[in-house]
Order: sequence, then structure tokens, then C-alpha cells
Amino acid sequence: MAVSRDAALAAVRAALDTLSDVYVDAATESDLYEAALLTEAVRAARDAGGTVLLTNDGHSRPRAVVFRRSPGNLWNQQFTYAKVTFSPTRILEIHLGVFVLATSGVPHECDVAVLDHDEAQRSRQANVHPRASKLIAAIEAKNYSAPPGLNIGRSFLGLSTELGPGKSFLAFPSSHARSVETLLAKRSSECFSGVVPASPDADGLRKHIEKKIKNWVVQG
Amino acid sequence: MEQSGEIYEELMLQVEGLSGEIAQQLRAEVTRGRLVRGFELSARERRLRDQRITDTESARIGRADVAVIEYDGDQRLRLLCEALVTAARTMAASRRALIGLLELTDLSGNQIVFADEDDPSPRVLNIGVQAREAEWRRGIVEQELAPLQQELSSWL
Repeated sequence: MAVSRDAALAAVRAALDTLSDVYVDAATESDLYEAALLTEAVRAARDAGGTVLLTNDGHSRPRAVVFRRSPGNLWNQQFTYAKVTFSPTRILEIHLGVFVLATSGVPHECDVAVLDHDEAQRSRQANVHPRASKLIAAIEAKNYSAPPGLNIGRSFLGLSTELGPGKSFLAFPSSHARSVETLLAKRSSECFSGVVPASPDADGLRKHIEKKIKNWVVQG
Repeated sequence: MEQSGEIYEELMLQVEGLSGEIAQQLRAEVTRGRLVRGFELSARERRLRDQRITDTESARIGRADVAVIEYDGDQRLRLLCEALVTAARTMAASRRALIGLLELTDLSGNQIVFADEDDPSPRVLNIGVQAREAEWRRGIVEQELAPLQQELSSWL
């Protein structure tokens, strides 16, 4: 049966009312999405054979899990990250919203950064940004419910060029992004649309990161 | 659907009320229009465009050409519905994922804190409560919008 104008208006209004009771604000929803993608990276590391510790100090579990609301320096021990151990000499860290020094010498924010633990230690000891050469993988998270425009693809291309070939993954929940997907189709850094956490598309992203991590582990 | 363009405009004011960001994403996409390859144009649309080209004696539309098609009212409304369903799913799944992170690392408690450096007012979220609430609301949003989504024509 055809949906009438009034029924259509009522349905969308009801949906909006339903959402407004739980939608916090755009910034917090983006923070939650980025943290959820950090979880995907943590799962990828675990699936690659690592043992995961969520920590603020590198040794013990935190009293509270605290994530960054805006980009910051890795060496600030106020924030929580994942330390993943594969062997005594092969350890990585997964951080949310830290600056990484690109090949150009400019620091860039990585929404999710998978880094060599030795490089993270160097960063903490000397208060210097970790270098992109020691970055294993990075996720650029865009909490877009509608298709992102070409500008998102272009800025991601710039970021991925800065961080090094094949290390960066662009992820967003919208399942339509023709122009961005076309732009990135033949590039080493990949675009993952439809990435709602724990969805089949998120599985695809996680498997890519798992592969990156496995490659890094065997190179050690 | 009759008057779908007007319905879309009317509803966009309410989407603004929920999230200026989602509204902005939708408006940007509608303004951009849909990118389609030359061979994906409907026969009618292709004929019309080829006709205009022929009038100026330029080359006809080929496989490599990319055209822009404006979203019609139904498609705009469907875009809006899809964005709301995607937002509802993302909200629920993000919260659920964070519970999974706490479980995966054997952390007790259900709180996640979002803060800036030396933040005097961090945002503390009870992720367990939020996840249950968001999951329930996701179901309602999907249920509310399903008939309308079925009704609207697909552009894929």
C-alpha cells in the first residue's frame, strides 16, 4: 500500500524523535565512532595473534578508560591506548587521535594509529612525535551518515601520501560514496564505505589491518 | 511519491534540529548530485544529452564520460531515510563496540571518558546504559522507516 504524505512525515518525525533521545552531539558521536574503529584495530591485532592490554602507563590496566576528544601528543599519559604483545621483541601500540610526523616533517593527526612500540617509547621518552616510517597502519574515520564528498577523498589522499604508501584506510558509515571510491580505487591507501562497527564492511577493514599487522610481525 | 521534494525540505528543518552535521552532509550530497558513467545513463537521458551534443557537432557521450544527475524528490527523501538509519546503526554499533573493547581487555565497569588534555569537564559516558538505549532506538528507527524506504524508488 502506498505511503501517504502524512504517513511519510509522521514516520520520519518519529524516527527523528527516537534518535534525538540518544544522539549526544555531532562531536561526541564522532568520538564514539573513532573509538569504535580503534576497537576494530585492537580486534585485528588480537586476531593476528597478539595479547592485548588496555593501559595508560604501558604496564597496568587503567582505573578509567579515557580517550582524546581532540588530537594530542602521544606522550601524554592521561589517555588510554592498547599495547599488543606478539613476542618480547615484537610489540605494537594502538592510539586514538595522536599526531604522527609525516615524511614532509609536518605532524598530522591519525584518528587511529597502529605503531611500533619502540617508536612510541621513543616518543614518550623524548617528547617527540612518532615518525610515520614506524607507523604500521592508520584509520581516518569520518562519521558520515550521508555520502561524503570528493573533498574528503582529496584530503585523505594528501594524508595518506604524507604517512606513506598503503598504510592509511579511510572509513565511514555511509554505504554510498561513488566519487570518493572512484578517486581512491587505484591507490595503495584504501577506502572502506559502509563501516558501521561489527558489520561485514567493518570486517573487511579489520582483515586489512590484521594483514598489515601480520606482515609487520613477521618482518621482526 | 507525490510531493516528496516538499516533504524532504520540510523534514530537513527537523534534521537540522537533531544534527546540523547530518543535515549539512545531506544538503551537500543533494547539491552535488549523483555521479554516473556515460553508459549508466538511462536511454532517455542519454538520448536527450546526445541530442544536445549533436546540435553542436561535438563527440557523443562515451563510456568514459561522467555525468551528474540531480536527485529527484523521492531520491532525496530516500537519502534522508538512509542517513537516519545509518546514524541509528552507527550510534548503536559504536557503543556496542566499546563494550566489546572493555570485555576483550577484561576491564570492569561501563564508563568511557572523552577528554581534552587537562580538561576540567570531561564527558563521562555510561556506555552500558547507552548501548542498550541506542540498540532499542535503532530497532524503532528501522521499523518506522522501513515502509517508506520500500515505497521510495531506488537510484542504485
